[in-house]
This record gives sequence, structure tokens and C-alpha cells, in this order.
Amino acid sequence: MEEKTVNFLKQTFSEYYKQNKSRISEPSRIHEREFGYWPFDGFMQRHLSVTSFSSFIDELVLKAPKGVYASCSYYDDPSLPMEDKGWNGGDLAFDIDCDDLELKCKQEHDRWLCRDCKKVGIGLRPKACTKCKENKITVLNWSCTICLDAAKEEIIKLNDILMNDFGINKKEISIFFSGNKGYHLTVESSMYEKLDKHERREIVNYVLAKELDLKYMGFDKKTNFKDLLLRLPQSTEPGWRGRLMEFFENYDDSSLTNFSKTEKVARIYNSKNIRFSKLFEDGIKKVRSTIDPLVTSDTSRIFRLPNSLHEKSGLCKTLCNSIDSFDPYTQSVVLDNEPIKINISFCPKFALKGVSYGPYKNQTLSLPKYAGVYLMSNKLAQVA
Amino acid sequence: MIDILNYIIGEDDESKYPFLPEVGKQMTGRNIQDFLNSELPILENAKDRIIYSLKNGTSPELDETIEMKTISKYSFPIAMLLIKSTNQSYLISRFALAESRRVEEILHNENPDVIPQIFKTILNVKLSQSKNINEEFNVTSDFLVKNRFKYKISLSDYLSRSISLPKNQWRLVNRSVSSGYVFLTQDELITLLREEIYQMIRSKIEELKIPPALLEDESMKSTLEQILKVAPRPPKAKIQVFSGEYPPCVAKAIEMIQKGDQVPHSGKFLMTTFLLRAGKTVEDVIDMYPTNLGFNQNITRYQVEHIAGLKGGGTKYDVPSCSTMKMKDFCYKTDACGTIKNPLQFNSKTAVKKNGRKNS
Repeated sequence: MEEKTVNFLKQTFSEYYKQNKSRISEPSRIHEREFGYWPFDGFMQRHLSVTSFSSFIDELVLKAPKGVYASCSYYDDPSLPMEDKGWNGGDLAFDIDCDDLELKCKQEHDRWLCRDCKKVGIGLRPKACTKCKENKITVLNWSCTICLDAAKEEIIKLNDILMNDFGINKKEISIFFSGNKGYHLTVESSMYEKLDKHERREIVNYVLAKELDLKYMGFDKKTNFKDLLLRLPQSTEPGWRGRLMEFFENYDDSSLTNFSKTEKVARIYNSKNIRFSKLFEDGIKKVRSTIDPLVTSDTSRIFRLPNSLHEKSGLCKTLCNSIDSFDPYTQSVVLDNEPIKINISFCPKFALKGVSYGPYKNQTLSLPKYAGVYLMSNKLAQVA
Repeated sequence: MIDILNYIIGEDDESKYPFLPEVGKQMTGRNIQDFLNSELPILENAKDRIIYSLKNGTSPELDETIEMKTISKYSFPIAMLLIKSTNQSYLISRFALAESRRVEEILHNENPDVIPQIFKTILNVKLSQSKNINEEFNVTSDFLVKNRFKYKISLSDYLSRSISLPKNQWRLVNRSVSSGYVFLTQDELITLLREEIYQMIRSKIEELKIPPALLEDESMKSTLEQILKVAPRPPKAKIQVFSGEYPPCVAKAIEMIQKGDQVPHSGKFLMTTFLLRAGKTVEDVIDMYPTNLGFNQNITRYQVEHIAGLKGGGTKYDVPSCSTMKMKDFCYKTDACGTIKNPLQFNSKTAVKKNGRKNS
């Protein structure tokens, strides 16, 4: 990235923190959390303790970092090295990233660039450049409305699991748009704050339905049909037994419409025409919530601070008061619309604040600042 | 919601569970000599209880007569005093294990109304009965009916205990979970809490303070001698720990395991990963856990093989760093550790050089 562009982004971020001091709300248990920030021109600064949040925001205006973070964990002294901090628990944190969802639209909007021969390709990264066969490839992981809608679906499923299965109160859950490719969900609950890494991994496996054993779901090949009918769960049952049964009961097969719900599922299980293992796998994918397994179990991780800007988009990490109606490409656009002239190398079509832009290729244009910053943050444009 | 626990502990329960605070209260303010010199053969019963435990790995069956119930109730604290006086960690562990097995047996057949009260009192675990799981979820499923999930335990209480249990049955994803509770059968509940019952009895013995005068008491002295005469000797440790051979945290874990002390998961994990990396085989590591002190070999095997990458997802686990062990409160750093960042570096050239010692 050219220096002029970096300076522009730095100034833009600084102005944002200056004008939005009151917008950035103070996290709970501030004295117990570790803070950190990542300057545009330097290394990540971690292990900061904050005694006055307004002074910390003043520092952000001055330093204009590209990312600002706070720990989910609570410590005796957050400023000490990790091993000396004294861990006292932490929020349960979940991250959903649309790049993990294997979406078809990535084939359309993702790009790769060969640094050797400069070939630009569409879709997922090939093993080697299709033109020069070299392996010097830079990837553009783009995201679109379809991507973020899919991530939203995952966060809604997660929210349901947390409330229904884990009994977490709605008031203890906060859902955020991450500012770029997905959603964060944090739980502040005394019931769960003391769970260690291993216990958090069990929560992860539950949400991802990992290590789920068909035997405990009532399915058993050794059982005859009559016994199978007795063993199979009902969709009203708690946990994965009920959730999976609901999936199978709703399986669309005209030859099974005349059977009771349980008999329908038993027949699917014993059918020679339906590949049960494939259907089961599809069912898991549909019903589980595809969270990032590493984030939840890593208690030493620091999370982007709500209402701070994301360095890869210029969008803001935003609290979703109503997740169903939340529109990330409108509600997290917080920079102004002052025109900015930029040189765009290329970019797929995108929409911000309800206005569509692009696709562009090798063009110099004046765009609203939020759109210009969006492209510059994605390393697709430079200040002209 | 946790049910209100209305069950009142009765005299029957006191003899079955003589570690209940109710028994302690009855002994408070009373002279131990009164029990030793009682008309009831309390001291004799305590001696028999210990010898039977040390030999058979469980306690003698409870005699149902009222007199024997009273004797049994009071012989337990006296037996604790006696076993503590042996000052032998191995014998203390054997006795605690035998007593905990006796309690387990009783609990398996216990009245469901009593179970939550007992666990609340002895382990401070909140349980509630789920008398109506089928009605609650409007199901007639054979699985739920037959398995009789009579209890529910809070999810956080469940996780902290189930994490070390190996089978798929214990993975949260395979359980019936609702509103922050996990449903359990009576047998599952006892399996989940058995380790704690043992540790509770063991720590009660550890915490006892023996009045010096008691050790001078002739009847105590002679009883103790009789016990020591027949007490089994501790088995020879499969892996000898020489001073300075292993980092202090690993040496501590080995020592605690071989004594039957409560070792946190982080300590067992450290010891296992370290020994595997140090060239020990899975069998060597499994052999380190003395089965006669209650370590279930199947569970141990699963855990060790899992860490070695032979089970589960095939991940071979690394030895946790010093900072992780410090965070887990299992760091026993000495000067010999120098500036090492991982227990594996112990005795390496770097660590030795920093301490100005020659590499051995």
C-alpha cells in the first residue's frame, strides 16, 4: 500500500475516533480486561490495561490504529505477561466467518492474482497460476450480501442453541457484525465465565455437532425395524436428538408422505435408495452453527472492540439490536460521504448504504469516502 | 430450576454417609477418649474397617442392626484418625478408595429423593430431580423412558467433571441438554462424581489434626501397631523419579499420581505429553497410574492414547508451555528451571548454561 494511501486511512480512522468518542461504549469490567491496538505502521501492541476509557479513546485519536481490541478474559492484572496475568474467567466468545461456509458465490466474486505474470483469475485460488504455473498467488477473499446473509443464518442458529440448550438469557448475549466478513457473539454470564479451554472446546463441539454419535441419537443398524421405531427420538426432545429428528421429519420424499413422523425417519434410515450417511451429514451442516472452533476455546485471544473500525473494510464493528433485520452494508457504514478520488485496480460489484458500485477495472474515480476506504482497505485502490 | 431440597438427613443416612456434617456436629465438644473407651466396640470396629479396606479394596458391608449402625457411624472418624496416624500416603489412599467404593455401592441403590441432598451436602453440587422429563418434552421415546434420566445437573458442573471421562457417551453433544442442564441417570451421576467422593474422603483425612496426646493413648497405639502389622506395602513405582531428572512440575505430577493425590487435569496432561515426548511408550505411561489407587485403566488408556494421537482426531498434543502451566496453577519452578519456556527444555544446554551448571 502506498504511503499516501496509508496516511489517508490513518487520518480517516483518527477523525472517526475523534468524532465518535461517545459512540464507543466502555466494555464491562474494564479494569480486568486486556486491551490492544494495531498501528498502521508497526506491530500489535498488547497487554495494555485501561484505567480511564476516555483516555484510551484519546490515545486512539492520537495513534489512529488500524485495529482496536479488548480481551474476553478477565485478569487480576491485564498488563502483565500472559502467564502472570491471573486468569479469572471470561466471556464466552464465538466468531462466524463467511469464508468458512463454502459458499458458491465465492466462485463468482473471489479473485486471485499471480504476482509473477500478473494474471488475474476468478474464483477460488488454484494450486498454481493457470498461465505461468508459478505458485506466487495473492488472493482476494471478497464478500457479498449472500455471504453475510449466510453468516447471519449461522449466528441465528447459534443464538437459538445458546438460549434453548444452554439456558443463556437473551440479556446476556450480544451479537455484533464484525466489520468485515461475519459476526461475533459474546456471552457475559456468571454460569459460563469460569469454563476453561477444554470445557469451552466441548461447547464448540456441541455447537458444531462434532463427535456426535448416531447411537445416542437412537439410530442403530443392529436393531430391527420395530425396535428402531421405539428407539428413535421425537423432534420435541431437547438437544441434538430433537434437532436432528426435526431435520429428518422435514425431509422431502413423496414416497414417505403416508407414514407417521417416526416411521418416516426409520424408513429413511433403512432405505436402499437414500444414502443415509450423506443425508445425515447434510442434516448436521444444516442444523449446526458453523463457528470458528479456535476462537471460542482460546481464552488468551483479544477481540475487536465494538464500534471500532475494521482495517480490511473501513466498516464498524456494530451491535445488532435486531439480528433478523440487520443490514451490515448499511448499518455499519459510519464514515462520511465526502468525495475522494482514487485509482482502482479492479473490484467486483459491491453495495454500501443501498448504492451499488462497480465492477471497476483500472479506473480513476471519485467515490464517497466510505466506499473509497472500503476499496483501499481491501487493497484494491490507492489515493489518486 | 433447582428443586427445593426438602429431604432431611436421618440416622440411617448418618451411618451410610458418616462423613456428613451431621456426624461431625455430634462429635464436636466430645472427648475422643469417650469413643475409644466406649462400651461399644468403636475402636475395634475402626480397626476392622481399616484392615478390611486395605486388604479388599472396599469396606465391610453395613450391619443393619441399630447398634451396629451407631458403631459404624462413629468408627469412621476414629478410623480416619488411625489411618492418618500411620502417616503413609499409600495406606490413606487405599482406605479412602475403599470407603468411597462403599459409598458408591450404597448410592447406586439409594432413594432418588436422598441423592440431591447428599451431593449438595458433601460436594456442593446442585442437582435436581427431573421426575417428568417425558412430560416436560412431550415425548414417549423409549430411550428416555428406559434410561430414566432422573436427575439434571447444571451444564458448567457437568462439563468440569465429564471432560476427563473418555467415552462418547459423556460428550456433551451426545447428551440430552436443555435450558442449561444435562440429564443423567442415577448410575451416570455416580460415575460422574465418583472421583470427587474419593477426593472428598481423602482430603477429610488429610485435613485432620491428630491431638499429640491421642498418639500416646495405649489403646490407639496398640491398634495402630496391629494395623501396620498387616498393612500391604506400596507397590514399587514403575518409573523412578530421580531428583533433577524431570522438571519440577512433571516430577510433582508423577509423585502426586503415584501417591493417589488429586492431580488436576493440567498436571496429568503435562506429565503424559512430557513422558511421551521423552521417549516413554503409551504402555509405560499407563503403567504409571496405580490401578490399586482407583485409577480406571480403561479411562487412563483412552486419555493417554488420545494425547498420543492414537484416538480421536489424531492430533498429537504438544507439551504445554511454562506460561500455560503457570496459568493453570501447576508451576513448581525452581532455580534449576532457569529461563526455560517449556518443560521440555529442562536440563537442556540453554537452561543449564543460564544456571551456570554443567550439562549432565
